[in-house]
Amino acid sequence: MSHPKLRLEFLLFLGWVFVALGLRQPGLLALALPLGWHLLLATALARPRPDQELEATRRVHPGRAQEGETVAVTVEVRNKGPRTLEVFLQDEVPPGLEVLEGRTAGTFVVGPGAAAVLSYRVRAARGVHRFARVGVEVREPLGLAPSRAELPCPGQALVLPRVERGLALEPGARRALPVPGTARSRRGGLGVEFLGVRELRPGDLPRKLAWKAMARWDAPMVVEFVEERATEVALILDTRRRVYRHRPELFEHAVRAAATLAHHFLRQGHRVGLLQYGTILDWVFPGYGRRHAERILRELARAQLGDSEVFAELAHLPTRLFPAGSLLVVLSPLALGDEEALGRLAARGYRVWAIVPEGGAPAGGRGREAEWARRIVDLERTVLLRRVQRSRATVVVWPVDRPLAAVLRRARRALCR
Amino acid sequence: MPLVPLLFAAAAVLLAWSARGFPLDPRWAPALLPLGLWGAAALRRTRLWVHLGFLGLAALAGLLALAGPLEAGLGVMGLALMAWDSADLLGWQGEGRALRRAMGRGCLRSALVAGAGCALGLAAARWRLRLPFWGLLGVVFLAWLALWAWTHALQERGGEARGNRSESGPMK
Repeated sequence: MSHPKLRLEFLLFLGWVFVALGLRQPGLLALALPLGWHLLLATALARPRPDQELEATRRVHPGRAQEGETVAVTVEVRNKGPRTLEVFLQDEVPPGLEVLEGRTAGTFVVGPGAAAVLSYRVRAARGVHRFARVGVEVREPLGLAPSRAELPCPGQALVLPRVERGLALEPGARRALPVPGTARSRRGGLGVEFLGVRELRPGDLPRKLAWKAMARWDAPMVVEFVEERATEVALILDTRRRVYRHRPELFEHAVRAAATLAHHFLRQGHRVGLLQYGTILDWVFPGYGRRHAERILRELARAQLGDSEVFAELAHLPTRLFPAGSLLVVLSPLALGDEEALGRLAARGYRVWAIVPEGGAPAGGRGREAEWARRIVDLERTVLLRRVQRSRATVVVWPVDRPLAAVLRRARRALCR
Repeated sequence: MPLVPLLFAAAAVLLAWSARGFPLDPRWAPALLPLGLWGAAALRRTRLWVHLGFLGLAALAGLLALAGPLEAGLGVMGLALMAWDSADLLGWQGEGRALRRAMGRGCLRSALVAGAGCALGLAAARWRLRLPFWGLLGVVFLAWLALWAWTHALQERGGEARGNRSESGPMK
């Protein structure tokens, strides 16, 4: 008697019978019969637990996709009971998924052992999209008291941020790791860039002999090349909501830039870590290789904006996480006050790059006051970026309507100095 | 479609009025109250108004059974049940044609059940049975006990644990 309608009808029937008996009116008692008959049939034919007769399974393909790709979702609800059921299925589509084709709800007549299938394709935004359950409404033959339930059928679509290919960039290292890479280490060794000539030492290869220098100095000389080694890179993704207050869409661009740089540096053999700074300190310990790249991409897929009193300022960056001399890449639109924190990092011996995504629609409002406000904001921004540049951090302003690779290519000289 | 329960309710009120020979007595004005309740249910689309509308029609059927022909009272009760069921059918979800077909089937079944119930009531009213008052009360009590036991047997057992679960991931 879980359905409210049946409960009300049951109470009414009882009340009716007692009133009829109390008033000694057989007419009223006869009037209770249609009510009782209706109640009897509805209760007899109601299915109290539709979830016991139905079983739902879900397939999400592919379970791991990139931003903008389509994902196919199939929900199958099988009737395990002995009776034919008329069911209505309504799948819960998590927010952030746009249904492109197919249907997420439908009415089916499902025989014993048969299955009802909902199938649709979605385009997913970056993130981890978890499907939990499918809503089921089972209608009994009289259609008087449908039973509703939610069948658990979990599924997950992991949508990774888009990675831009074709980046040409080598991090200048202040601290090199004892592993080959692409960072010039300012010492002689294996490499392709000319460093200088020196006298021959035991163990030098004869093919390194510098014949012209030998003729000039009248001593055996060899050519030295700049040794290329791996270095330590820490990507710092700013997730403070207040920084993106006017243009929250820039956050997606910052995440994409972080994914692109992580992918690029890891391919070059560097040791890359990721710190999300904002709501919490989410730190992916530095590592190498493809599995580590996947780990960073998965973390970036989950990245969200947030607020925290503790991490409101960039000054609370935990520098003990980053080894001295490593390259810190800060991905943030920056806010006033951040220039001091970046300056302090540079003064501690870190190499600091600030990649500042800019663009999108300007702040709303029309009229002279709005125009003045926009000009004041632009001026503040210019002052901020100049201060950051003066603090020995390298600033790359990235207009997000242009590819990151093209912007970094133009800024290559400043970045690799 | 949202007007179907309202039409059933209007038919019930009209039946009640016609059973008494279309009287113009102002004391019949409260008979329009159930119609108003069903109108509110059609406008507001909330379950509370639907239930109140049904209770109003049931009360009208009871008054009619007391004051006038029992057949009319049974008819009003049947129409009240149909209006109630059709309002429930309107809450069904589904896509276009399949939903309309399912609702049509539901309406037909509801009409059959209500019709059968009215016929049962009519037959019971015509059937003469001599039973002492306390015997009748005992029969009703036993029927109620059987119904209670049966509905409890049908009631769902067990349950699912609910509440917050710990999630893996960094603490916020």
